[in-house]
Amino acid sequence: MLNLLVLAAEAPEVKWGIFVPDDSTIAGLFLALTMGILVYVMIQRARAGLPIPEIRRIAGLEAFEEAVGRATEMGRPVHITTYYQDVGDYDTWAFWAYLAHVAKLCASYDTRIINTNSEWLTMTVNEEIIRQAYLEAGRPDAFIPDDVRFMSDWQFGYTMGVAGMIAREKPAANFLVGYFYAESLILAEAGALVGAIQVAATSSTAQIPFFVASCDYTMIGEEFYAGAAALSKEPVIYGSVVAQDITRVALVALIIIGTLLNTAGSSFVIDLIKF
Amino acid sequence: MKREVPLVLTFVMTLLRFGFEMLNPMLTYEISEGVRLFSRISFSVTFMYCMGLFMGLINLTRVHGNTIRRRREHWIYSVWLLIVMYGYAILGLFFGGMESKPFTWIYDAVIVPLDSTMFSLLAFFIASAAYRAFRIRNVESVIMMVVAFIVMLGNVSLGEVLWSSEAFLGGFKGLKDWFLATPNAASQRAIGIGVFLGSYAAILRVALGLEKRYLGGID
Repeated sequence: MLNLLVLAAEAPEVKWGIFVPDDSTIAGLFLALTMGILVYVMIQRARAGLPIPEIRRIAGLEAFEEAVGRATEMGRPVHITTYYQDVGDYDTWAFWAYLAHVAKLCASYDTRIINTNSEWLTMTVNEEIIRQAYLEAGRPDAFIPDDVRFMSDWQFGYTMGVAGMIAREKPAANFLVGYFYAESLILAEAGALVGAIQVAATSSTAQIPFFVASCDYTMIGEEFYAGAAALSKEPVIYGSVVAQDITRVALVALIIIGTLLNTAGSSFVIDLIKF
Repeated sequence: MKREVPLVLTFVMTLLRFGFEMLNPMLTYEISEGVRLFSRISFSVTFMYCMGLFMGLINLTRVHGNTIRRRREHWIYSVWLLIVMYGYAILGLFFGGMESKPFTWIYDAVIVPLDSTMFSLLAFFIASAAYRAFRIRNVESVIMMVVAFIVMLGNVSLGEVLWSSEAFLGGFKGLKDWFLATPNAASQRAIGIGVFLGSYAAILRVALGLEKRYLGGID
């Protein structure tokens, strides 16, 4: 019956002959292309050795080394997790930059790194990244495969597992990096209870207050992605962050112009964005 | 070659996905009658996950079987894990399916209460985190505490008794609504715009092959 209704419904008109008939398709395409071109230009500038702006100092980013150093001094492990992000998620890609950084630090300081997972494909890549870090540090035998753990793909099953692990193994550093949901505060408070130095980096606006309340350092919103780029220390990757900042300035200008025009009674910018 | 093939595949799949989002002829393209290319590609992900589930089942049996055979530390938990995993799967597959009473009862009587118990811990953790966060150390924490106090009072009946929503400024409830709808929404949207741009730049880095950590390396 539902199929019949769908077939009977009039098909929406296609935009400009080929575009998907949704609000903001053309505006989105324009923004995507503009930013793509900007990224390309900035990368070319970086490759040619031309000056590009520096990424500002992010306090949370420097705390990673401090926290791993503290764990080494205390002889306790380091814990890092991203909860439930699959391999196709851009938060996972950013997380891998942090994981590689922490794994490199742990491998060079000979400190145990525990990675807990809720997604099996991500766990496989995580294991490879950590193994590679130990290999490059010349300590392949120090890598413990059992420390890359799958907890559960059920939210609170995973949370119980991680909280229990933190209570038992008492990591001296707890890194919560990625997109989190209701488990964020439980994980962060479990870390606070064992006295771990905690660094959180998240793009989830709903979880920012919890992390700010319970972690020593919190990287919010785009700091999380910019930090991932900054860790690479490659000017080519810096270029994409500069392009992102230029687009942001343009968007803020558009918001201000739109507000002024809308106040004056013109919906030009709104129509443009919805186009 | 081991690195080039995934990089090319990533770029092609990014273009395909972009096309599905933007171009109507691509989104509605049918490889046979009633079967869209988009749904077939989406199905490949489901297929991969099913294969992963099967491999996970074999791997768990192997790992925990070894633990039990060698009587490693906490081996009894491995026994329990295998009993629960296979028992619940057999119950669902051969005894009335997922709608059967024993199957749903185990879910309702075990999983749901455990879930709720864990979720309810949040209330206590919020209290302990709030205690640390609201200690007055500087101007920012004073502002945070005052605003949190107003929002809390705006949500409970005590706030209504102290300063009614009928009174000046809409009482605590009016102030709470203003805090949530104006400064809070504005800052959330600002962060949201930053997240969108940051995530888009991250996608571009991967699509253009600048970011290769998903291949398992550290650089």
